[in-house]
Amino acid sequence: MNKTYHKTVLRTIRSTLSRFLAIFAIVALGVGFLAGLLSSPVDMRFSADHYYDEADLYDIRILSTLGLTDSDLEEVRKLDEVEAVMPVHDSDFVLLSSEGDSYTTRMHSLPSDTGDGSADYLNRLTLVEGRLPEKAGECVVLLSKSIGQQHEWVGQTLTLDPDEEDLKDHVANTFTVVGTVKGPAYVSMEQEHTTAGSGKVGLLAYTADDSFTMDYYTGFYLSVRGAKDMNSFGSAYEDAVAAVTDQLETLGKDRSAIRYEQIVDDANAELDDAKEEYAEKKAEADQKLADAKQELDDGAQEIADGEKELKDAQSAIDNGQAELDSNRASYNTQIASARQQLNDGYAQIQNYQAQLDEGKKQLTDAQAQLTEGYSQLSDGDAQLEAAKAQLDATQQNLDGLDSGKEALWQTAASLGLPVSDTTDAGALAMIAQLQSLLGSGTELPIPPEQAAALVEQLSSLQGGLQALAEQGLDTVSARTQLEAGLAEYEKNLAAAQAARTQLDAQQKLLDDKSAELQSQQDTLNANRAELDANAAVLQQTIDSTEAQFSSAEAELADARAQYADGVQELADAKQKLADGQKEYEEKKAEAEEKLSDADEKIKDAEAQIRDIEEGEWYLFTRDDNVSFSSYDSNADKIAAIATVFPVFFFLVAALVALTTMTRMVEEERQQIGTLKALGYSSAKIAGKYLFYAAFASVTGSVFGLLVGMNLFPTIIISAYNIMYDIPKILTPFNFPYALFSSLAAIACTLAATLSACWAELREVPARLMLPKAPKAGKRIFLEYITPIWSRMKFTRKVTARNLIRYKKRFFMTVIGISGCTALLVTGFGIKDSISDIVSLQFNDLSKYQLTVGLKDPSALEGRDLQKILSDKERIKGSLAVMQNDGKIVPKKGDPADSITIFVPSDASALPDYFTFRHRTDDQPVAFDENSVIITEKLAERHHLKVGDTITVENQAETKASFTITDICENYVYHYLYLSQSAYEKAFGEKMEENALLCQLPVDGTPEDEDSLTTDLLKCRDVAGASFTTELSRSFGNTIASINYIVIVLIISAGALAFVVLYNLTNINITEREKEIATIKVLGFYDKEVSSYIYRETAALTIIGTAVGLVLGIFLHQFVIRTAEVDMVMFGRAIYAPSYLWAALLTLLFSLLVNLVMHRKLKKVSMVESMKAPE
Amino acid sequence: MSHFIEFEDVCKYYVMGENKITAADHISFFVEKGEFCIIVGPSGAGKTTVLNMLGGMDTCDEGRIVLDGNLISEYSQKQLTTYRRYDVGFVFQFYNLVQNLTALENVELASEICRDPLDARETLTGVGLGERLRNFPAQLSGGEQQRVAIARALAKNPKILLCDEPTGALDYNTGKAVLGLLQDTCRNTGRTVIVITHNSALTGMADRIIRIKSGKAVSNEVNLHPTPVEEIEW
Repeated sequence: MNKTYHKTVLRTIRSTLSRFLAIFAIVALGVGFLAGLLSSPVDMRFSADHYYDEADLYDIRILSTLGLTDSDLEEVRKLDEVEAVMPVHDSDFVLLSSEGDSYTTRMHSLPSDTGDGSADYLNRLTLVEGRLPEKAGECVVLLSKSIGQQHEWVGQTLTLDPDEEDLKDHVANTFTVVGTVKGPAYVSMEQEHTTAGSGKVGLLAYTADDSFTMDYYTGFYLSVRGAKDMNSFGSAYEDAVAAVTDQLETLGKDRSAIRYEQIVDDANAELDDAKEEYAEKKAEADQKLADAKQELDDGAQEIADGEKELKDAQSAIDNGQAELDSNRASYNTQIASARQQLNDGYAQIQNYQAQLDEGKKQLTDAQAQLTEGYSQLSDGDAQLEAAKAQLDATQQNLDGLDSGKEALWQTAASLGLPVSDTTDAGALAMIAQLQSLLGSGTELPIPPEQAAALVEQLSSLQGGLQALAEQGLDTVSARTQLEAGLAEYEKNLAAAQAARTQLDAQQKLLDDKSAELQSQQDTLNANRAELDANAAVLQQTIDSTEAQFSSAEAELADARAQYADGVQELADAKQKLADGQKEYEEKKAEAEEKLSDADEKIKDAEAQIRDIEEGEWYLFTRDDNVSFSSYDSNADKIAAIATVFPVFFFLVAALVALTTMTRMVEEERQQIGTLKALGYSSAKIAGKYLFYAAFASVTGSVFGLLVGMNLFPTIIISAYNIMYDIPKILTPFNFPYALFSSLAAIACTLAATLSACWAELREVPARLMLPKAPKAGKRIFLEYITPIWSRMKFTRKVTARNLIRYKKRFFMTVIGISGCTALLVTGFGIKDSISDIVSLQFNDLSKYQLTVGLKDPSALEGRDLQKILSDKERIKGSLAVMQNDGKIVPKKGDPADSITIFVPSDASALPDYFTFRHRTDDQPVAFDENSVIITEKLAERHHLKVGDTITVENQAETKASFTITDICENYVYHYLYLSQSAYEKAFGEKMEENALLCQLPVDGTPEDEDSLTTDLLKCRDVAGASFTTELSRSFGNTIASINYIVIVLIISAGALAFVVLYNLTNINITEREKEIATIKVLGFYDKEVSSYIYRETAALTIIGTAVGLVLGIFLHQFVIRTAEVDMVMFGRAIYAPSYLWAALLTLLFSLLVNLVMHRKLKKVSMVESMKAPE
Repeated sequence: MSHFIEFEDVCKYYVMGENKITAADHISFFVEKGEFCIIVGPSGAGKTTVLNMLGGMDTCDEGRIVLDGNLISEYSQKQLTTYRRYDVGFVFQFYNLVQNLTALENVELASEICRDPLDARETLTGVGLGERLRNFPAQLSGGEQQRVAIARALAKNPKILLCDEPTGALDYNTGKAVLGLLQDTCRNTGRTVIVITHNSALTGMADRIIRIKSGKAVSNEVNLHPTPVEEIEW
């Protein structure tokens, strides 16, 4: 190639840089995406394999339920192909943290030498923190994706759960955490199952081997010579490992037979001891119970006797009471009559007394009269006396006065005085003479002394005489009066004397009467005394009788009290008896329970011994490692998605690249003619375009490969590292894929270029030099529909005509855009499909939440299990089923799929646990005794429909054929649903339940699940319990990762859409530059110019999008069918939002492109319009 | 003083890498309203530059351009577009018809955006294509296409009609016919028509001839007795 020519090429690139870049970008995208996605699963596996090699992950793991011995170890080591063997003590048990958390732990032992040089240290741990355990009781905790995280472990002390009785003598009882690690055996998020604790391993730990004191190993990990050099996901590796497993299997048979004998013998001996002890204990218990029973019976008899006694006593008491009552009645009558008599007596006496008292009163009155009489008499006497005394005094006074007058008369006479008058007046005149003579002092012939006495005599006589005179009396009348008084006195005295005599006679009469009354009174008194005596006697009788009654009553009361005591005693005795009875029942139940526990234990032990079976060695390869196999299957899933999708993606890219090149060649027609005219050979001319194309596609491929093969695997593996712990992401350059995809891209572009050039170069230069006759405008059918056409603005008419005029461009654009939309629809659709599985399978189709695995159908009769199943608060309902692995006997060319033969114990109950329906029309599918239902994916893979015959093989390799009665919707695994009778008839063997499907209460918490598992695992012959929540969670995780990949797909599809739209719009503009320039000259504003062009792009985009949406449905179906793992059917539906998003994204990209293109349009120079057509 | 079209010391430079090319070097001329003006000059003399600037497709770097009293040279891009839209009718050397539109539609394409367009159908009839309204450009001969182009320019009812080598792609007779059409248009409608050509033989038919050479207007002469186009030979 000469220099100028070279320049032309470079200049072409420069002048059409956007086109060049478009091809570059499209090729880069296509190649990068294809190669990147294709190598993603490869890189995933490579990264994992690299880690496994680095960490010396075991190739084979040997387990034996019987344990492995040192001699087993020796035998294994003898095999040539075995490179290293690590014997371990692995054990699952429950550990408790100091905070009381309970961890179902899988404890592994580490070899004594964990140095780098240790050949027998497999599954090497990577320290995260702290150090490895060095002595018994130290451990490190493995931080896996699902467990052990978010916890400060180092320094923690974990103690063995006291419930782990079987283990406490074989393993350290406390563990101190000295570090945290990561390990190759547990790289995934899936939880391991166990029969310990909660059924799920909640903690993974490694300890020094000394922590275990068992006399056997629980397992061997071994590595196969040369396996490290192979990819553990490859078939070479599988073969190498299989060769060793074959040998080990043979060895295992011998070794386990030896071990089995030893163990069964030991176990049987132990069991016999236990049985003997059981028999003894049972006899003892029976005896004790019988004794107790006897005692109770005696007690009951005693009580019966007592009751009788009491009854007698009661009747005696009743009799006594009756007698007493009648006695009291007659007594009361007698006493009453006696009382009456007495009272009558007393009444008579009273009467008499009254009469007497009346008499007495009369007497007393009479006496009083008498006494009055006497008193009057006495008063008369006193008067008489006083009258006498007065009479006497008057006599005396008269006598004195008479004597004084005599004396006076003598004296006067003596003295000489004449005594003429002897009356009282003459006496008083003499006294007054004398007294005057005596008073005159004249010497009287009488001595002086006689004179004084005389004076005195004279005064007293004067006084007397005067007093008498005053009464008008004188001494002589007074004497007559006195004489009359005396006579009266004498008369009164006689009358008084007569009254006295009368009174005395009356007194005498009265006294007689009184005496008579007194005698009557005496008689009455005597009568009264007699009555009183009678009353006293009666009272005495009453008192004594009352006393008798009282004592009788007291006696009765005593008897009653005794009786009451007796009743109380009897009640007590009865209570005691009842208590005793109850105690007896309790003791009996207890004893029976204990015995039945013991029996159960013995049965357990028997079952265990039975389960020991032949003592097989279980050989596990990495395929059996949960994380390994799930990682592998995830890689498969990516591989499945990564085939169709990027290929289609690539096809779209290639199509656009070749369109672009074709156009370019066509555009440069004139230049080709010129060059040809100048004498350049066709090859050379074509060379320019080929070079252009090759340059763009090769650089694009290289760039795409460099970026894509790093970017896509890294993103995808990173996404999967949400679930997996693959420390290093390795993206080795994958030559086959790189070559394949880049060569395909380059070849496509070059071929397109070549064919375009060929078409041009066939023409003679002269014609090439001429502008290609412009393609004639044509009427389109729309024009004939005048109502529409005449209403269209003709800028729209132009658009309509243009769309149809350039058919090739139209189709290319529509295909390009629809391809991108289809990719977007598919991307979103994959997301829908995969997300669907979980909710459809585990919520809609499965109506149970728990599967309990059974080792033996007899487990169903286990008492503990029955108890759990009958507790409706824990398990709402359960259905025993048989789920057996089987194989389909394929027709020619069909895959030999494994299936699950599913037989319910109760055909009518099955629909409660499964939703049988057709996916397409949601019609329910009936299940009965004659049903043979297979799942949809199985039918699809084997082209089976209702009425066809399916032949399957069960575990015993018995073949049986069935006529399919229906096909049901199902997403995970393949199932053949049969009724018990159908199964037994077809396979000629009994159905043996091996699983229980359980429905749980809706409001169960994870804690409930854990405790339920713990309890279930304690039941006899229960192999495991798995919750669908768990399954759905693990599926959910996978889906989360797949979602990342889908996002990658969507972004890539979006990028492609953008590039494609950009490129197509770009071409559109370039091709029509002159037209654009012309309308600009005509005075179209920028916006009008843009819309003139965009209307077309928009129409193409909308048509392309619409087509893409439809295309997407097919592509999605295709991708999904291709991507589906054998066992899984993805959801087949794409949801409306996905279409919407795909469409919106395409339109959005179109809009973006148009925004970019608006600037380009503005830049189109009007000078272009001056140019001659090319 | 004020002419219908006025160029005053107009300069236009193009920078190509390190070279500065002077496409218009202080060009000054004027054209009166209603004149049929021919701008003539050899290839590369700057005819097209003048046309572009006058047609509002390009701006000048120096000087003033006035049309009907409007200072075009100071217009913004937007104003220029409006100017093209309403004041200028353009006839291209290669017709620049939209292939996908019929003759009538091509005319309507222009007339539809105008304020006061002429009837497209009549205009086409006026240029003698009354029978070919519904033909696509590819179905028309070169001359017919150019007539459509002229009709398209006319239908806009512009102030000036600018024609860039309108006969450049046509044969002699057709070219003559097209020129005749332009001349008639000018005479009949009183519209200012400016034709750019390298063919000085045509100058005879113009009212005004402006000669341009090396980016300069070397003469601006008025032809008081234009020759009818039929009599011109080249």
